[in-house]
Amino acid sequence: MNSERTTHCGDAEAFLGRLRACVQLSSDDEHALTDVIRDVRRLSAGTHLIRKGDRPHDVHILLEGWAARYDVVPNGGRSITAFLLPGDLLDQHVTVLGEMDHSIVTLTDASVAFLPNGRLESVAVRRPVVASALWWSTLVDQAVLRAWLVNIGRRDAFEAIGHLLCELHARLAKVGFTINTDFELPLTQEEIADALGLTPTHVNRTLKRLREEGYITLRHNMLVILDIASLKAAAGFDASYLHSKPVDLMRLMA
Amino acid sequence: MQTYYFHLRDGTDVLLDPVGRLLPSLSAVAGAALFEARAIISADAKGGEISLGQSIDVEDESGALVHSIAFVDAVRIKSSR
Repeated sequence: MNSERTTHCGDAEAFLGRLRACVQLSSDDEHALTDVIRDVRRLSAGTHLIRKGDRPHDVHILLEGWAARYDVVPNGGRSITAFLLPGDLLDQHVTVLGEMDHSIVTLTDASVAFLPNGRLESVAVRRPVVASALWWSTLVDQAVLRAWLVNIGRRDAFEAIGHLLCELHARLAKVGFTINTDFELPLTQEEIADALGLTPTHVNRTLKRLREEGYITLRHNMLVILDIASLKAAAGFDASYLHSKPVDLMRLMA
Repeated sequence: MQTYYFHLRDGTDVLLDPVGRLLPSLSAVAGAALFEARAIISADAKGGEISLGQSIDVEDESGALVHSIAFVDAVRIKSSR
């Protein structure tokens, strides 16, 4: 694995930014979280964080770049079961498991924090607001997975790709990686296909249709959503499953 | 492993594959092209209209055509009559 170890406090911004969507963290909470991010590694695209069958030792936080969870079926076909974006926590309690049931690979060059077993827990145990924020993060990941099931189960290719683009835009906007409705989409058509149970040529044709019908365009390697309201309507996208509303802390602590 | 480009042809129109994909052999290329054709036919069936005049042309990194499959050859349509 190509990596260089460094420590950057500023790198934690995407992670903190994501948690701030749900809860007001105190500056002490933020310092405690930043403090556990000590081992940050630059990984090149195509680096596995962990493979199916491996015993997990670390919790990872993706600070920059994209990654994917995937599995491979016996005929060789790959299924991508999640796109991981800056700010994503993978996975808080994973070390409870004896072995990984899927693999995680970087899709772009990435910056990943490696937290040894227990380090994040030690913060959560002392800080209930942090603990709630981390739970929220895990619950949202599950909500995204359910939305992906709906993509595959009940949306056609046009709706599913539209929905995925709206979701990626919404998630990236929360961590500051969008410029209005423009964002860098580093995914190949193969990766989009593997995420939605489609084939790359079908994705190619559907993206062409999305462009021709005025929903999206490509500008200097950035995907631009030209009419986000219409795309959301066409895709049946409702962002509420991303739970980006502040949690009622008084209700939590009662 | 080499990169192969799967272009979708519909009469004179062609939709080019911008990036290609890595495959280990021409046999894998043929399998992937067949799978692609059937996937598009399936999706179009759900939409109510299948255009069997399409084909998938596969080119290698040098631009040479290494495989082609016409949609009419990708499925057998059985009629009960």
